[in-house]
Amino acid sequence: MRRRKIVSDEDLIRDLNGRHLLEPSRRILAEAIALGGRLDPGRKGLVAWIAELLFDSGLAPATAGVRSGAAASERRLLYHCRTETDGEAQVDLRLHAVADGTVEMVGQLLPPWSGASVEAKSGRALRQAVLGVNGEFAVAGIPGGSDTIVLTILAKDGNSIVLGGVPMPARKGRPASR
Amino acid sequence: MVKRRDDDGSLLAACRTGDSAAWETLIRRYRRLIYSVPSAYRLPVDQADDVFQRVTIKLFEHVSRVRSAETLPAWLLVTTRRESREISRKEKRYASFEDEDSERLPADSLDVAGRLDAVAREHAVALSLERMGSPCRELLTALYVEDPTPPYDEISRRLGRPIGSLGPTRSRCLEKLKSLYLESGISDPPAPSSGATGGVGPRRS
Repeated sequence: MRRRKIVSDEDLIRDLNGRHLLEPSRRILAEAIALGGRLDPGRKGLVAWIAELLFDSGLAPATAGVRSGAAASERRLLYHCRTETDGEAQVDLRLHAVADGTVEMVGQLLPPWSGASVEAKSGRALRQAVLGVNGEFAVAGIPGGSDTIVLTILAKDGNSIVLGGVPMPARKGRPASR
Repeated sequence: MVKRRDDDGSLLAACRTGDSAAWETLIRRYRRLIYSVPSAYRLPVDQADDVFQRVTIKLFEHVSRVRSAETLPAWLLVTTRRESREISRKEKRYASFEDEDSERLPADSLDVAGRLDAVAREHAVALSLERMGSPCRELLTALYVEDPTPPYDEISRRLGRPIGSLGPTRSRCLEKLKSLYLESGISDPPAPSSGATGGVGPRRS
């Protein structure tokens, strides 16, 4: 990294004042710190699930005869998730924009994790559900104000998949987020 | 230099063994860097929250693969800038739909690049200050961080040192801070014409 070797006292003192540094709220700081509780000592490392978005209906070309940019109130997403070892999973999501401004998420994790739960976070709102025996889940009442949802699937053993930027379906008067 | 047990490399290694306290230390150390970058893009508070959340999740996902602790601050800066730009791009697209009075993070008259430089520099200086021992950390904090700045006699009382020794100690401490800052590597020091304000002397109450 390029670095000048001369720094004046004035520069240091100005930067000590730190007027461009801002503090996150206690809430979001606590959420970030809480991620540490999902570190997995049994594996001598993090269970790092890397998610790849395989399909997003919001980015797919419009069907012939359908006006480009037409806002779809349902959005389908398919993620392929893998670990650095040999773990693999798929998360299939359908998001519906509901008339009251909220979003309903219906999904399935394959292969299913027995007894797992799911958390969907939009802005400050958190909605939770439990996965069924086939890995299916439904989360309703997600506020539609944010562009993205943070989806966390939590296994009983502490394993987790975190999808940090699940895009929203189209809201009234707006195109879907990308 | 003696390797500290709470340096980034040790903390990353501890995270890999499931040490949540090490993770918390890392998050607390870089919280202001991550959270301040969105302000350079003039993002509203709720979107700055989103950026913070996205970046910490990415750090969580990638922490086991960070090869060198020296690259962590740069990785955080690049990732946070990328996330901020992405949200800023969407913000512009939806600007006509946003509330006029939506709460925004404070920003000054510098351009985006200038504000990003300022954030990186100030964070590097803050980390350097944290690494300093006593009495330098307490003295420089009292003189240049606390607001309002306490009077010299109070600083003298706090540090248990005569008032006459504060000036020379301050000079030595600034030199030490400068050296630590140059050792750490997050950004270039400021250019002389970057809009600096304030003087060398301490702010007095």
